[in-house]
Amino acid sequence: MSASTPTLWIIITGLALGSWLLRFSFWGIISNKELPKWAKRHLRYTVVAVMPGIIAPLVFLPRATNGVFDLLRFVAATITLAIGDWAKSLLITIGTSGLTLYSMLNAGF
Amino acid sequence: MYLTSVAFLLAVIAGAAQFTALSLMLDQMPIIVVIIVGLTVNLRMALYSTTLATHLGAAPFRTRALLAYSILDHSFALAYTKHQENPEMTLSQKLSFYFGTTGLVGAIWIVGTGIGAWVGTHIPDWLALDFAIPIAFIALAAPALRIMPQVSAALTGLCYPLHSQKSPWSGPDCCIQCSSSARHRTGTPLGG
Repeated sequence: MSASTPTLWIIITGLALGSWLLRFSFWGIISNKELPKWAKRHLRYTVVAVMPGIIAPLVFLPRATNGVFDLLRFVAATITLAIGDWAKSLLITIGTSGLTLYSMLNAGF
Repeated sequence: MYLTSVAFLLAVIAGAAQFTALSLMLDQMPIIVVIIVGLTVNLRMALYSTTLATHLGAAPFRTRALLAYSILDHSFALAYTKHQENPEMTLSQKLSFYFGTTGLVGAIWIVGTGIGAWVGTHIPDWLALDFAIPIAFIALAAPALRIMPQVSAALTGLCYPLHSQKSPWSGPDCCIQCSSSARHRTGTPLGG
């Protein structure tokens, strides 16, 4: 690791404090007050909005192929979406799509 | 080496920020830049904080301060979906469920980091572990897609990071924040 140890620990501490502040920010402020209806309606979209944002580059430009679109992984992602929609269970979805990906990768495609 | 990996994880518990900070450190960026970019990547935590507060806001201050340390993508998604589906849960039931998800996911994550620091370089390519992250996140988001506005929000969320692709990590993560408000605007007018 080319970063010096004091630098590393300063960064770790800074990120730790900052991340905790971010995580506690609204949860600390809001406490007993009821949020307005429009705010609650917006917040219902958090999960479905943020998750695709996180994984979009990894699905379409996977790191395993150095950013080149990989059809196998894209198909695996689509299958995961379909299974997740149908099964509605986290573990079943992950297990089945993992199996699908391995069988596709190792079946010589 | 293992100590700093685990310490880094325990301090931040957010993989995206850790990766980004690491790659910036290796590029010899100034400390303040590394910290600012790392925190920008973690801005989604503030969003999770707000969303959790809709159900868990009434918890005592110390509980909130302690639990806030451990807001993770997965535990947040699981707990929030559960709270939405079962509005009749009492506050302490909701808190217990959230603590259960976060404790379990966090514990497994810490052990996994230790194992990864130990044997990471020997893991074979055919395991395709790079795809574990997308699979896990899709598995979280797919059951939550119930109404059309949520689907359109998801599609918008997909497109923005791809447009702003510069480096593998910092571009898309920084763009999540910009696209959050765009997605909410796309979602709500359709009647959500």
